[in-house]
Amino acid sequence: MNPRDVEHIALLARIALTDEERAKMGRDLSAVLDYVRTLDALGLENEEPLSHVHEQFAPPRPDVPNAAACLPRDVVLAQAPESDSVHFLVPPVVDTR
Amino acid sequence: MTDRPYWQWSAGEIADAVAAGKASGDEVVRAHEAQADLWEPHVHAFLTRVPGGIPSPDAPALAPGQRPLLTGVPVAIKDNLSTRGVRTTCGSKILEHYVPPYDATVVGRLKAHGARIVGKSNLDEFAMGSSTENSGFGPSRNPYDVSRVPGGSSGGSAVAVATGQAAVALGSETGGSVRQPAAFTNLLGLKPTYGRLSRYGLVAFASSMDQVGVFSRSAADGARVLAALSGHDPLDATSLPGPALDFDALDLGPGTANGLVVGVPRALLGDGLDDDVAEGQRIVEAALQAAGATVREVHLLPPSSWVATYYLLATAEASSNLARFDGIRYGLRKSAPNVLDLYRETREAGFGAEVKRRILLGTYALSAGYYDAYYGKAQKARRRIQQDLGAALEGCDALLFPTTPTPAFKLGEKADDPLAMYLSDIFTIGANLAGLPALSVPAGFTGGGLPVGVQFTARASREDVLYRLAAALEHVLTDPKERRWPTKPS
Repeated sequence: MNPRDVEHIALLARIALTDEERAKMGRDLSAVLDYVRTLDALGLENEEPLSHVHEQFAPPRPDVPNAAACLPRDVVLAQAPESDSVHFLVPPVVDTR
Repeated sequence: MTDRPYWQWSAGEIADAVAAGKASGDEVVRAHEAQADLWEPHVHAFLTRVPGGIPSPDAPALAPGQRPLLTGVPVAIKDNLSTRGVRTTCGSKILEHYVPPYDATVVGRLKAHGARIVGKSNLDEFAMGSSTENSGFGPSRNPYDVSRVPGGSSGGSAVAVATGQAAVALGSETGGSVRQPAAFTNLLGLKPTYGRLSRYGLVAFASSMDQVGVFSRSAADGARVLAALSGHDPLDATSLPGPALDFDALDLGPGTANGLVVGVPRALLGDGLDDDVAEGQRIVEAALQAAGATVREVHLLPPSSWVATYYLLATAEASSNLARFDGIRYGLRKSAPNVLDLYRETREAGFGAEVKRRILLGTYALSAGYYDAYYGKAQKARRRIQQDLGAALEGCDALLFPTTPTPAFKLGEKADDPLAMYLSDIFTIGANLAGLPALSVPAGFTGGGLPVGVQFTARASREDVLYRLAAALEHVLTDPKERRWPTKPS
């Protein structure tokens, strides 16, 4: 994986990297990707993918709000890096210049 | 009752004595805190200590028909489990000052059973690692040799129990993060069946494998904690529907393993296995036969396929789960003129190198053009691995093989080689991929005094079999009351 690939992935993942980090990440990730080629020996072409270990999971439940599992607004906003008393505050999302 | 100091008591002894008014819960906590004062400068088990234990006036009620199982028992909690009003960092700078407004379900159940939560224990950042060296707040150290790692990612919880700072502890597993540190510190470490314990309030790493785990110094204590915490939780959609483990119905007496069949995958015990680990495996096999169990050979896929599959699936899930740490709603924020740079700068500053590496690997495995070649292939491999372990368990009650290929390694030994670090989990990952319960148990010491562990893997929801086998070993090999405690460095 070359530094340009790493830069592309880092942008997708929303992580800024220094030049030095980019180079090391490229080497480390290439080593892991080489290792995972060992899976090719298993001959998996006709296997069904598995996304959950139990056959029965996430059963439907009544569509009723659980007030006990909800938090008051002031409690939630108390953890925010920046807020007024009602909203999370963020920099401009749309560039209007 | 006993002339041993409180910090050497089992959770069962403490719970019975405090409930009967024969011991003071405050004094029991103080004895464990005195151990922490002695050991913490050397081992760094805790990120946050809670003097006197978390007060639990808000403890939820017990489920109908349950009796309190942990009255007065000092418990350490891995710092990726949410504790209301007590800082929960996940070992990450991005959550250094985060204080959860709610309890994880397992934390609430500990309180309901009367436990005293004495601190939040150190871990590899977001549970990503095998040594605690990836903690944003400095590593923990192995009390049996402080130049060595205690294992990870739940290393702090292991160290707390191994040094008598807590009677039992909670950790979490995604790929071996309870069993591997248990093996390195002379403890029992349980990874329950996927869905057995609620994940509500466990900060997510890889949701299809994450599971809360239990550290204990005896089979009876581990089963006691599992019984207190298990049972369906409507707040976790993947929580299994069945009832809690019935602790009082569990037979942990001398004859409990009589007639059980244990399968050993001999092919795993070849190259690269440390001699002392191989000897531990031999000792345990002989002890099981002495306890009336039958040992037979089974065959498994090479565990290299487990590691390859795991590092694609776990990183892919992590890249999605950790997207929530963005500097908007809680945690660290780095200011920037636009929201994209705010995300990038916050995550650059807040995450350590291993977390970044895994997020990038997972993003790559999921990205357009590579999905089928990496993530899709790993999902197929996961099915093959689950079928393979299931087939091996068809003719036996449990599988037995070492927890780790070597005893605890030196701090720094693998820190610059991510792949070498990943391979230290080579024997533990299969149970996580297949969703099966597995328990690491002590299997003696090396000539140099380092603990060695082996593990049992059972069919889904058969944690009872795991603890019966562990109890049988205690009857044949070492009474937990006679355990070899670590010696504090001078």
